[in-house]
Amino acid sequence: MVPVTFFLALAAILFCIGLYGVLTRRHLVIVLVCIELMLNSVNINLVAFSAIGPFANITGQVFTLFVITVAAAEAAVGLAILIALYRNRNSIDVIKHDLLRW
Amino acid sequence: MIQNAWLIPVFPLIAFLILLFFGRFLKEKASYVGIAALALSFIVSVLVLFERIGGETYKFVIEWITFGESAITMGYEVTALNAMMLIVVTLVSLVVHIFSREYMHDDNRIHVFYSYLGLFSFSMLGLVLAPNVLQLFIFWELVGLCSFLLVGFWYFKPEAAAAAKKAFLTTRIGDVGLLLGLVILFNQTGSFDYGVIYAAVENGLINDTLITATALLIFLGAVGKSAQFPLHVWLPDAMEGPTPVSALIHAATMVAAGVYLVGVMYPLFLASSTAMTVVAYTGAITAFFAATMALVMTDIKRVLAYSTISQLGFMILALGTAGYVAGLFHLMTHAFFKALLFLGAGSVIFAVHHRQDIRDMGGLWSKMKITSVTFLIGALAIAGVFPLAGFWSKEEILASALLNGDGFLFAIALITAFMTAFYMFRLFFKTFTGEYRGGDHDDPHADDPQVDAYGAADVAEADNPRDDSMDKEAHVPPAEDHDHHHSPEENSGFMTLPLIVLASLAVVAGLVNLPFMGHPLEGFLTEGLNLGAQPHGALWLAILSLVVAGSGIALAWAMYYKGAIAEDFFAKKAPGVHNLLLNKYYLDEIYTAVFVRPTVAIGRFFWEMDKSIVDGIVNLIGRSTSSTGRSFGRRHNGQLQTYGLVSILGGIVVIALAFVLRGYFG
Amino acid sequence: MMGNLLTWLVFVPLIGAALILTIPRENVNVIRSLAAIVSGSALVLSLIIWGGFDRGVSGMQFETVAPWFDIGFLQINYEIGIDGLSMPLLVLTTIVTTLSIFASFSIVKRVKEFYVWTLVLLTGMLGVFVALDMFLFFLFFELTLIPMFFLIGIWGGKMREYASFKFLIYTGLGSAIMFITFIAMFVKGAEAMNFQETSFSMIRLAEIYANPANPEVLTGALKGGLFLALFVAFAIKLPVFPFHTWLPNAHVEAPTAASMILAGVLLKMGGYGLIRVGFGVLPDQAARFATLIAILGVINIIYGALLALVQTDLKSLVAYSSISHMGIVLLGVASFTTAGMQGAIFQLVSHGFISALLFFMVGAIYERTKTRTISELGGLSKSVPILAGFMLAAAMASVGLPGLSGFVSELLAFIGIFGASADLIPAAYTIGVIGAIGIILTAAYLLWAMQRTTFGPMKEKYVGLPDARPMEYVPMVGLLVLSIAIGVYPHLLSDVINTTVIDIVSKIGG
Repeated sequence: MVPVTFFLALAAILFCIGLYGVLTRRHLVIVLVCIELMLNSVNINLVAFSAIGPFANITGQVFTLFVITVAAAEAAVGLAILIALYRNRNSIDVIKHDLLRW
Repeated sequence: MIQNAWLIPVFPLIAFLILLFFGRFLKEKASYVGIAALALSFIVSVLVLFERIGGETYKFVIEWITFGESAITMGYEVTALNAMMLIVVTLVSLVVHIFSREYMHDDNRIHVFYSYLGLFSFSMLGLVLAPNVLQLFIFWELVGLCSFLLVGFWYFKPEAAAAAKKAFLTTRIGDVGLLLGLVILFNQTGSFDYGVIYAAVENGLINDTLITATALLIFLGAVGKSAQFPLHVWLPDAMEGPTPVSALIHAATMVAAGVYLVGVMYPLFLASSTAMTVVAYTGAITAFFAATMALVMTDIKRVLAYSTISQLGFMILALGTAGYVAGLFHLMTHAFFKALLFLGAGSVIFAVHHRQDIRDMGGLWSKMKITSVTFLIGALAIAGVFPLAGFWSKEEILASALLNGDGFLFAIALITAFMTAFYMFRLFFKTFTGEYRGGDHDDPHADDPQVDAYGAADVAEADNPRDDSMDKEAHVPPAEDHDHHHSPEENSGFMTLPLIVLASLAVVAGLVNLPFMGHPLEGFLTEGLNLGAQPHGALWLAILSLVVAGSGIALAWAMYYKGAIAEDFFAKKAPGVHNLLLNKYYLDEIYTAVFVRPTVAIGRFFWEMDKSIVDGIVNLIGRSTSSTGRSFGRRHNGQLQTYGLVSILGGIVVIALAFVLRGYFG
Repeated sequence: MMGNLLTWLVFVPLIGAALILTIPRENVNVIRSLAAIVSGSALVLSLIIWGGFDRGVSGMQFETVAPWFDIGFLQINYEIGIDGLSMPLLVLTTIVTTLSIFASFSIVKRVKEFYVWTLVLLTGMLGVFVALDMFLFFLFFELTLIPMFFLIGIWGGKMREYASFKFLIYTGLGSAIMFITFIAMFVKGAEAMNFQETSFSMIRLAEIYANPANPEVLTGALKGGLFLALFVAFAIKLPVFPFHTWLPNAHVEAPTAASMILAGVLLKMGGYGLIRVGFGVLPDQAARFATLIAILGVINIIYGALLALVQTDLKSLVAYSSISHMGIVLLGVASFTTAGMQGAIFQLVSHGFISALLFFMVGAIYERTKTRTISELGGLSKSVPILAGFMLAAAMASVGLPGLSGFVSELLAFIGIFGASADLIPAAYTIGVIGAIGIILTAAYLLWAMQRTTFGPMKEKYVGLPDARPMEYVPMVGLLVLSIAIGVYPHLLSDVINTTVIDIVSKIGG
């Protein structure tokens, strides 16, 4: 039996890679992909606990399905925004979009 | 009728209201409204006086305000003193109303003038009828307001505007003292009623210090209103007002209110010997200093103004030396002869086309018979010549100064009596005898220290119906000089009738308190009051006072009629003194330097401080808040990824802290 | 309807504001007349209440209590009612606002918003004077801030933005302090009752603070601190030196109608709050700090007067005179006598009328001459005699001339301070005498200003200015007549106030 720690470590590594990508990559598509990566690391956690956690039950796997659905929706909406942004500003470089400045 | 005494002030009030709302349409006819109102008031006053002499009295009050368990009432009361005052006020006011009909004829704001006169008469009569000292104070302030309005009647003259302000402010200083005195008295006795206050003083309910303090504070009010030293400076300036106003307000009635105030609060003053001494000395000093200034003034109205101050000083001196009846008796006689003198002066000024400098007059005796004769009667009366009114009252004042005062007070009173006779006859001779000097020159003394008096010239022309014209022109004597070549002549009946009435009163008013008739006025005024015995002089005192008056007249005669002594004899002998007097002891300048300038300077200083420090701190707090915000704001570069990094680091820090501190997770 | 008269009174203006919102902005005349009608009906309602007010009863009348929030121990009621303290101020508010609406008919910029804000402001002010629940009080207090902020910020003078922000932030700070103090009073009140009972009601809290079940909670230091915090909160509004600096800015920049309301009513909320909450809930602390309050009052009087003396702008002169006059209020309340307390309330009412009139006159003259600089005016008695006459009358009322309302309040306040017990205020006589110097200074700055503006030779450029318009007579005559009425027969007012005043004063044993 693979101990739960291994799954958690994998999830943590994936999460960190995703986070790193989100925070550093300038290409918005990559950023979106990295967000998917972070969501999936969470999914690994959920599934791992659902199978071999101290209170193992089906809820975790159900939740994973929810996350995947939401992630799909999110990707769709994100890409749509991205295309709209590209049409308007001719760029999908994160650095160039600083409209949040005060 | 005595129950209807309230009608007396109400008639002029109605006249005021009518003129306020409809005066514009009445114009000159406004004068008849005022005259009718005062005539009615006078008739009622006479009836009230007769009933009062018959022994009746009446008091009516309603609740004015309540606080806690206390209540202040207002109403009216007829006493001996105010029955007398009612006659004086309504009579003088009536003749002044009649006189002004002609005097103010050319002024297109004559209806405003009459409405103010009505308001003044109402206030003055209300003051007199007041059953308590607070009501007196209320009307006291209202007469001050009327004085302000009437002195500033020709408001477009800067001198008049300044004089009006000065009059109001200077008396206001005294008024605040009076108000404080009343407030303290109220807190001690729980009432403003004369009767309650008298009783409290008599029964020793108030401690001596407070009696003295309140008496002095109340006296401060009298000092302001009656133009006593050191607050007398406003009265000469108040001569910027129209002359009938000077006669009514600044000679006969309002300025006498201070004396009246001391009179109605007399038991309080009697209870404090310190207060009495202060009163006596203030009166004496005022009488003396004002008389010295009257010696050198050349503006006919200013001479009379200083004479008024001096005579008021006499009254105060009498009151301060326990001469209650003497002081009030002089108040009455003075009201008649001083109003006479002022109206006489007004008649002269009107005849010589609004000039006021006696050096421009002269020789009017033959041209203005009635004015001259009545003026002479007035001058004789004020000088205290037997058997005119002033003789009787002044003699009683001298008696009270001698018997209850000290040698100093008596000496000052005598010297002042001498000066009075001198300056009045200086005025008389300069104005009415010799040659008419006002023929063809405009402004011969333009660089004189009293130049402001000339600003008053030509006001009537200034305000004739040229409404759209610039008032600036008003101050330049009009170019067309034709008026000045007319030689002066006697004025119409509207002006001479009041003079005749007042002159006859100046002759006979003394009779009401004749010694050999048993001092009837004294019996009337002191009935029911516990004021102690009234001082009376011996025969030698009467003779002495006559000698003093006579020598004053003689000296004036020698200098200004006969020319035996050069006119500038004394001025040459003591130029320093002469200058000092001409400049009114530099008191105006001293007050400006000591009170006015420092106050304004302190104000400026506080204003700067307010802007820089008080508001500076506020703005500093505001500015530092916003600059802190701005400096944090600069960290926000709009980079989504930076925000994310910071929030994640923040989250890590929080979690780390939670572990280290073993907080909610531990 | 009769039972909820007060509620109607408070919310009629709000309904009116909503109605105005539905009118197209072009119908300026409809909007103006509707605003006048709405505030006029509030005025009528307040007069009906005045008529039905029982003068003999101490305590609250026209009370309405309804639960509003009920979250566990946090219970907030819609509790309103009036007594002799709030009754005159209620009428003052409706009168001044109605007249200021008449005075603002000359405004042409964004008329609709102007009247909407004015009516919302009216609801806020009326609410402050009727609220008995502290939370409600705070809400209404805040509700007055926003409309006034816009009135100054949109319709004001050159520096309007600075002035409006300063007003909003400064008085908002006061409100914040007030809110924190209210919460603290609530919590400590609950603690003092061992959490058996909680209340935001001023009346209940006053009883709790007077008779706590657990007295140890309410230490002297705590109560003193609460009172001082309340004092600061209301001192900003009144305003009291050194928290006054927002006032000259706000007054000078505000449009005439807003100045009238600001000076006429908003400042009064400070004095009202101080008496209602400070003196009502913590009377012993008010007595403890009586000397401080009296001294601050005297400082206000003298300081305001000295600053008014050197102003070059007529409107800021009037603004500083307001500061000076509010000192009388402090002097009166500090004395803890019936006379002084009544003097303070009289001063609130009378200054409401007089300062509104003064501001109106200054505004009317500015409209014609386009200047407020004193040295540039002059000779107005000649060019606009009626306006100048009313201005002079207003100045005289402000000076405290008897026969006008200002005198009565000064007289009562001074009777109060001179009659204050020596335990409360040790040097009452000295304080009173110094305060009296302020009366002289008041006369000095106002008369000097009048001498320089209405008197003197007429200036060429002011020839042919139009004198008062018919619509301007409404506020001028209205305010002056009220001032005269109170001045001539103060019993009108003292009759209503007296019972309440006796009540307040008796709380510290006479």
